[in-house]
Amino acid sequence: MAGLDERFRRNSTLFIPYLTGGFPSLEKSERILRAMADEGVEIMEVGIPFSDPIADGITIQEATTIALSSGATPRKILDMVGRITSSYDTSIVLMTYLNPIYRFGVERFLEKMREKNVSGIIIPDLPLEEAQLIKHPAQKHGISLILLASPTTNDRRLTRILRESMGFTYLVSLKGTTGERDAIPDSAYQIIRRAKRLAPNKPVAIGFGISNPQHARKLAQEGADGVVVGSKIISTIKSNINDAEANVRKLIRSFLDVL
Amino acid sequence: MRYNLPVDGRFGRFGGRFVPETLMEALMELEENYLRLRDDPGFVEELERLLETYAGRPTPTYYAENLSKRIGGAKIYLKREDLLHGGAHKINNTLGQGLLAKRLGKKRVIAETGAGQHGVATAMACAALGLKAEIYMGEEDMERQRINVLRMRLLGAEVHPVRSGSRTLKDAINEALRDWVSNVEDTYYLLGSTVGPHPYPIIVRDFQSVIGREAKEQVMREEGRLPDYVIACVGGGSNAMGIFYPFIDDGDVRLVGVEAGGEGDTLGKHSASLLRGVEGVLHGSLTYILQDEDGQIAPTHSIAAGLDYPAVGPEHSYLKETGRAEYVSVSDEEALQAYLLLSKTEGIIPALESAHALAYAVKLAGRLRRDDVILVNLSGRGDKDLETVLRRIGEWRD
Repeated sequence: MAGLDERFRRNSTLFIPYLTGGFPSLEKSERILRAMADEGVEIMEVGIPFSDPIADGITIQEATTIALSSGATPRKILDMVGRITSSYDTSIVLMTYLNPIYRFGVERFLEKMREKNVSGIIIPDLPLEEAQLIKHPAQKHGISLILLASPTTNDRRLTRILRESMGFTYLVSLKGTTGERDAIPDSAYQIIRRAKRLAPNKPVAIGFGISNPQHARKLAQEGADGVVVGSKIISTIKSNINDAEANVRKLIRSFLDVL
Repeated sequence: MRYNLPVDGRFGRFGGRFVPETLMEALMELEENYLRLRDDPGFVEELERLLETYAGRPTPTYYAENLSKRIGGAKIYLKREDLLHGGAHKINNTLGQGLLAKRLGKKRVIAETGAGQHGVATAMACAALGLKAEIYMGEEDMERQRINVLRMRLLGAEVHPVRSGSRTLKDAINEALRDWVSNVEDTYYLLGSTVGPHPYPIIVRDFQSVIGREAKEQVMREEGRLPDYVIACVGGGSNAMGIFYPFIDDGDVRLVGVEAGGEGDTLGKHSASLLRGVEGVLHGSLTYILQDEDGQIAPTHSIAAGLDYPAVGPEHSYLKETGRAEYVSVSDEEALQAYLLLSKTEGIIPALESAHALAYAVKLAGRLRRDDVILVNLSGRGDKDLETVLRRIGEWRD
């Protein structure tokens, strides 16, 4: 399977959908992820729900609660993404907070990720200064530790984050939590420009608040190598609960069409 | 690999700054400014004056002779933080951080509260300092602590109900952190305990250390020596760190933290993070946490709302690991009995939180000699708990 770097190299801008694993149920989330892969998505982000998601807005918080009550666990989600990576040419990156990984055992978790052919891990409560906790075991198992940068990150820190992050760097578009927004704030364009100025060859994906294909296209034009959409997918599933796959497919296509 | 920035804010391996990147700049700025201001004579003087003239410091240390004689063991001294404005030690920290916020030029202050004590203390400090206070409080706690909600509003604070998760203290902290991520530039987050990301555990400890500094001198004056034991209840751990810290280097003084044993050892029935928790990361800090086998934060219980928290300050985790402090727990029922006992014997109604420390002191005192000295942090007054207590005991027994 192609690595994250290679996927960014051979595409102009990648559409990266996010889904909370286990939402709206374990079985349904697997079917939705398979539908996304069918549509030709190259990279998907799958969340392992954590009870206290401080970087997430209300939409993903609610998805988290539903996923947890439907019985989602780190192990079950790892097994699920393993089934997907073995049947599709789609790279999967996991998103979760540090505690579930820490409890699982950092070393064991990363080993399991490799076993399931997962490409990378995004941990929103693991800033640069604390990253060494995961960095070495991740390197050892060939997993990309994807760091986040935000509008409050100054150039000096951003340079270091771009250098240390593997696979790609996750740019947070705004000061705030995940969730749909009407418009893309200036801070989104600014952070893409800054990242591209500081490290033109490092792939960056931008996320938080990206709610429609027009948003995605503007960010792609600004130079984003990837665009992450999460809450919009969750809310689409929620409002079409009996026909989620078809509606997600339609949504995915609308983004793929403009990128 | 060595980073240019020091990896600081650690107590051994505990503590740290496990927060979204958006907050890192603010935390580093806060650390820098705090370290500068805590040694600034003007800042120190202004805080001391507020503590004296507004909060009511110094508080006395009282020899509870009736209680001690009734038990027939060691002498029990009470550090009377219950006499402070607002009725608890919380005001020491909110005045300190409120002043810090003001010096940093922040006009908007946010805070979390569980039972409402820290929310009330924040509202008081902000009113006194001319700052706008917004308090996050779990919806369930708002129902349980209606009077404190009214007090906060009366004091000019805005109270935001938190409807996510378990709708209690941990969720109020989550929501305050989310607010801070969104408004980090003009907002000061006034955290209420020795928890959270660095530098909060240090800031709160420092502002609460006035408790131990005073008590040390006061016991010295009465007894001509240091106490044998210093005992405090531990939820997040701020009153305990406040009284322990000035004794840390006095190796002969035994430091005992008392956690909430609640109704039993099963996960969900207690709040004893240090005794029954597992290492993990919550609210920015690596520490002991009550969680299930998948790393999901567990529900907690205590008769004392102020101890009802699934984690604990990282410095306590370190003190436990190094053996410098020891941690025990007492049950809801034992705390309740101590609440009633102190009220009857000394005419002092302790907060149910502080009653945990007292309950252990009572157990311990009976096993010690008559010239042994126990210092208990009576961190708050118990009027706020009357309803809870009445519900528990049904009617007054004499």
